[in-house]
Amino acid sequence: MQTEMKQFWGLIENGLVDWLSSDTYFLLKRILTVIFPLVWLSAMAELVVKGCLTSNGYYYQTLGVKNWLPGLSVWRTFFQLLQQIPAHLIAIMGCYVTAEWVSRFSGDHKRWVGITAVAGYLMLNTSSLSGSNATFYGASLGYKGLFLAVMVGYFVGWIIRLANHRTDSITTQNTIRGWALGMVILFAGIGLLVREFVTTGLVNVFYRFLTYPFQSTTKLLAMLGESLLNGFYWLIGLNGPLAINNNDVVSSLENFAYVITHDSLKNLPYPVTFHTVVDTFATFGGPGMTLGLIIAILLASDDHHERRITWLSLVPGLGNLNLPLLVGIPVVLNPVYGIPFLLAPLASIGIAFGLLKLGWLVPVVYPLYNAIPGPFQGFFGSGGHLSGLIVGLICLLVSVAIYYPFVKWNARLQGRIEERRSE
Amino acid sequence: MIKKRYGWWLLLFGLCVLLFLPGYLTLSKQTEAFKTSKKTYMAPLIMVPGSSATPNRYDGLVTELNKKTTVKHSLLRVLVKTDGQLKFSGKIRARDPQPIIVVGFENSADGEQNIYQQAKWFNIAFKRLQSVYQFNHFSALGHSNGGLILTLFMEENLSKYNVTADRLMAIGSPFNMEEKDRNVKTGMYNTLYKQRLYLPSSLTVYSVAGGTSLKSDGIVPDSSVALGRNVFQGSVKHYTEITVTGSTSNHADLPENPQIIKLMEQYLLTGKPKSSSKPN
Repeated sequence: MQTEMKQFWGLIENGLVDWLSSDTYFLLKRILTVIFPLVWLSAMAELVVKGCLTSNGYYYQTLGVKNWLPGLSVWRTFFQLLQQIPAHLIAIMGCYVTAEWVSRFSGDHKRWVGITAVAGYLMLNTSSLSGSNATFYGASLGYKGLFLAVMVGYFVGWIIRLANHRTDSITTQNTIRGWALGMVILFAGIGLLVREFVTTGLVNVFYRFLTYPFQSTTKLLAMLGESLLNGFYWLIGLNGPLAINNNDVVSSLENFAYVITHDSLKNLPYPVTFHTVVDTFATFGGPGMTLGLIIAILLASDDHHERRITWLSLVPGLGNLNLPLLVGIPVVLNPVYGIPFLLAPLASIGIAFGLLKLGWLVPVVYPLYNAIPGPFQGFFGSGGHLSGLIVGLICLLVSVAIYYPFVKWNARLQGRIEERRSE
Repeated sequence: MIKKRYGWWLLLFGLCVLLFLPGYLTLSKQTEAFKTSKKTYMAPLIMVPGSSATPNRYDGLVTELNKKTTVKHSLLRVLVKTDGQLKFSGKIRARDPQPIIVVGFENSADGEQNIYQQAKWFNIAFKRLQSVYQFNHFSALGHSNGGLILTLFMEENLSKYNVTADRLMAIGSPFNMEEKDRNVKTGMYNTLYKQRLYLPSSLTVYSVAGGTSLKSDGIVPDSSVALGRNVFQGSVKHYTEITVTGSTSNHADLPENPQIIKLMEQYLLTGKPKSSSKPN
């Protein structure tokens, strides 16, 4: 029995090493490495905008930023530029790098392929709201569009490589140009079709489809299921549709109205909702409780690269923005970190749900400001109830404990991956 | 390894405390701000008539007001008996954004001591109304002593509720009773003035005086109404004084005065006035 288990485990490890040292994963890592600086800069600026410069930001309210910072709106615009422009380059860079790499050309040739793919991707995502002008829908160009952008890049790179396969080097340049032109015309045609059916580009249709299973709920199983699916979307490089702190608007408002009129947190109409459980206790550091991963890496990892990325991701992580960590480590498409990424929120949901049902935890009723450090959400959202803080810290500790062995395991596998790639 | 990185962990812990502190130190202020920022759908207009009037005093006025606004206001009358019991008549329509509630008193006699007592009775009625209808903001209109009762209530009891007062219109209210000499201060004025800082700072006050002569509306001297300014200015958000003359501007007729009805529509009612047939 024990040897069978060992064999089985060996198979799993081999499979993981195969995947993590494969060419496809290497390409994906390359893409993520290229976009990391953009993601990081954008996240840092987003933290400043959301937390310090807008009226529902935690630091804006608690530090009274409005009272002492001159030219508030100018600062806001400045940081929004730093946030949005790099973010809008993410999908484009992903598309470009993929097409270049898949085509396996060099020099000008590969640049041609990359530019063709970017043009193709942009054509799929124009907004028809402004008539016949081709304007872009900003969000589609960000991380949200990365998945589709990589697909387009892959397709373009692959087709042009295939077309060029049998030609000799003298005709290569003309062949590539010809095919590039053909591709651009093809995507313009598809883009035209997309505009006929949707006003905001293909990425948004895709997301409308993805968000379909997400419904507001008060049932434990549904919460666990939605959290799992959301985590899974993030892992395969899609923006999970569950926005932090923005769920269950109606029941949250009713809870809030109850507190205002009764001045008491007892007998709330909806003590257990997606908001009081998942939003509040299962999103520390962002989706996947990645604040736990940050602490686990700082505790257990000796990998220089991993530690550097983690330190860089700490500040955005304290504002519940974890894209730098997901892209930098990477957690995306990495099954080793994928498992705890899915499990850690489930543990927190279980803890918070159980304690709320038992009445030992005071639910969050006050609106949560943006960028409150995750473990403090339960405390501030309940108007300063100690149970919120204690449960917050318990959930954090549990998530660290869940991530810890996987950090160790990852370090062991990395050694094998390097061996494999150097062979 | 942990020992080696002791400094870093200390830094991390310090950072967490640093991020926690601003929220912790401003917690009660934030919570309070949340509570007052969210307003309920219903915000009644509470009317208190002057002495010797029953809760039916404003039936005609409400009918008149309803003719002029697109949203109809339902009417609830509350009579507070001398033993503190409440008698209701009329009713509030479901989802009425601004019902009108008239609070009258079994003992509605004039006199300073009576007014203090009526303010206490009003508090009993308000407590019940608020717990039944769950509103967290309201406007009020008081005629004559009714204005004094409302002012006393706002100074002495309103802070006990999680309720804010939006607007108060006092019509012909004698803040210095019937005293004609503004240098002679009555006990009522002194009480109102002494407690003025307890008035809600978000309140907007309109004090309307009637003028049948250059000195009074027939009963209440101008100077007594005007002393309201000393009570309200600086304690509330806005204070506006208006004097209405012409026919029906004697003290008793003021609530039916067409000019004053227009002021009520303009300043107290939330329903849009029916549009006039032709724009100018």
